Amino acid sequence: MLAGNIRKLCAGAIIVAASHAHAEVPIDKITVANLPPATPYRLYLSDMAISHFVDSKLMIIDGETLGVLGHVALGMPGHATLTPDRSELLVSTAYMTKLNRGERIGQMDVYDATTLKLKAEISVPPKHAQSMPYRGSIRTSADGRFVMMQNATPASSVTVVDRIAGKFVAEVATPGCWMIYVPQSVSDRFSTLCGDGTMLTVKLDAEGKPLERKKSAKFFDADDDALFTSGAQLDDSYTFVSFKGNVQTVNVAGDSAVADAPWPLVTAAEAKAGWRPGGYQPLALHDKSGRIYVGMHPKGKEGSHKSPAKEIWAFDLASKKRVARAPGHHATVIAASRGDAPRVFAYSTDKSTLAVFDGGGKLKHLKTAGPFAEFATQMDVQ
Amino acid sequence: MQWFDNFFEARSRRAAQSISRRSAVARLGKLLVGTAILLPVLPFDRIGKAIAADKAKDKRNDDTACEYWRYCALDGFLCTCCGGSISACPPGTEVSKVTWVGTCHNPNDGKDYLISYNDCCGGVTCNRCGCNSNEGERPGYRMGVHNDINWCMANSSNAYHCTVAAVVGTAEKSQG
Repeated sequence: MLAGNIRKLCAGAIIVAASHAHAEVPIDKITVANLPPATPYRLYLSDMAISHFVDSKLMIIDGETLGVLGHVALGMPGHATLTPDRSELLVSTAYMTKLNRGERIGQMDVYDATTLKLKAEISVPPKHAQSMPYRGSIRTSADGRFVMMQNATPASSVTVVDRIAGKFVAEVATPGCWMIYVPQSVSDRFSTLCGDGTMLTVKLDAEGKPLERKKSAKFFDADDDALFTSGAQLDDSYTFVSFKGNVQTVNVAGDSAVADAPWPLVTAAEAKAGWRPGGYQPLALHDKSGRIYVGMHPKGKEGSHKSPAKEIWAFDLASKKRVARAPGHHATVIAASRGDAPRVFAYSTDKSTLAVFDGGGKLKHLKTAGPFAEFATQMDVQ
Repeated sequence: MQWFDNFFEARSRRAAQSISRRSAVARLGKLLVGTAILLPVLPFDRIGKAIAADKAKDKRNDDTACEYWRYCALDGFLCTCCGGSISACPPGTEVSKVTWVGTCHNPNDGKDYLISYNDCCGGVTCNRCGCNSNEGERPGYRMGVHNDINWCMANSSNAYHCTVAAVVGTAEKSQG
């Protein structure tokens, strides 16, 4: 009886739907979209999804319209980077065979950056750092051949994968050091920031196995004024900010890293008012203008280093002068586009909002939208 | 080359452990480590008679509030909101094998304590009473005081549930 009624209902619905469809709306064919051609403002927002991080994710956003373009599954919890030619997204991650237990399977997932389809899975030791996404957790060499991935067991090491050969090559012990910094002019080395205030540079052989390792001179103090690990790259150098607001640029192209003299973002009066950098990715750099953008909060103190920005300050790296100061929009993650017409993107981890600024001139606020992601801590721009 | 990898893995584990320990000692100054041995004799009165009625309302003495004094470097969900307690993991979970530490000031006796933030592992994420405090916290190059990583990483289940805050000693505090 019930089945008969449902059949009648369905038949009726089909007739009504069909007549309406012919009258006004054409019949749809359901397809799967590809990403549109990339603009310089495409954003990649990495989200640990802290409330369920067996299932973390990457959100791709059009930085002009602030529309969501797609997602990539990052596993437990994973880290993503684009290849230098922007054709692939590489993910360092692990999966448990029974979701939250069972065997831990370590791998590097390779996604096509246009279709977002999984195109390769490369087996690696199940040791990747199950950390919040930070810039530097996974990086490719400048030529794209080697992929370096941060491990923690919690002993620190770096996995090297040969993307061309499609295989795991080596695990490099990096005790007391964290995050990966690759130069632009050479592809046979990486550096990593160490808790004793130095950088360790590891040179790789032709196969990607460790050949030499050399420490820099000490250039920061992790107790007194630690460096945020989220460095912004320009050619062979990375610029960092410290918890107390000093800027440090380090060249990583040599056999050992070489640090420039640090300089302060803050005047003596601003330091006294407690203005400090804060957030998960507190610094962005625009390549063409040499400007840096830093999320700053007042009344800073020990432990305030993940505080959202009250203001965003822009500095000219060459002159070391502040050139603009804008409202901070509660930002904890800041990124900048490359090339002409710079845009600065400021994501708030606790509010899940994304504010956009014109990166030139006076850092004019253009728009804010949200919510995006659940607990994102890393943002990369095309 | 398996021996080579094993050798470096073993050596890096030892090095990281010793570096973490050295770093903690350098930062925290005098350190009394003893966990279970010291726990019963710690000069700490758990929200007891000594605390005045008005103090009892103080969030620094409410172990379900982020402002609770032991949570000065805790980033995660409070086990006190998830069926556990300040030093007990909720039913069905297991205590993390590895941990980060903080040094927190107890307003009740004026002393600084070394706190072990053990994650509780297995099952699902509790997702209640999320806190994010970072006093003395440092990036992963100081792994022993880093809280942006899953400290269930070395357990049979890597799933994170919540975090406890156990006193493991007293410390002299140095501010960075």
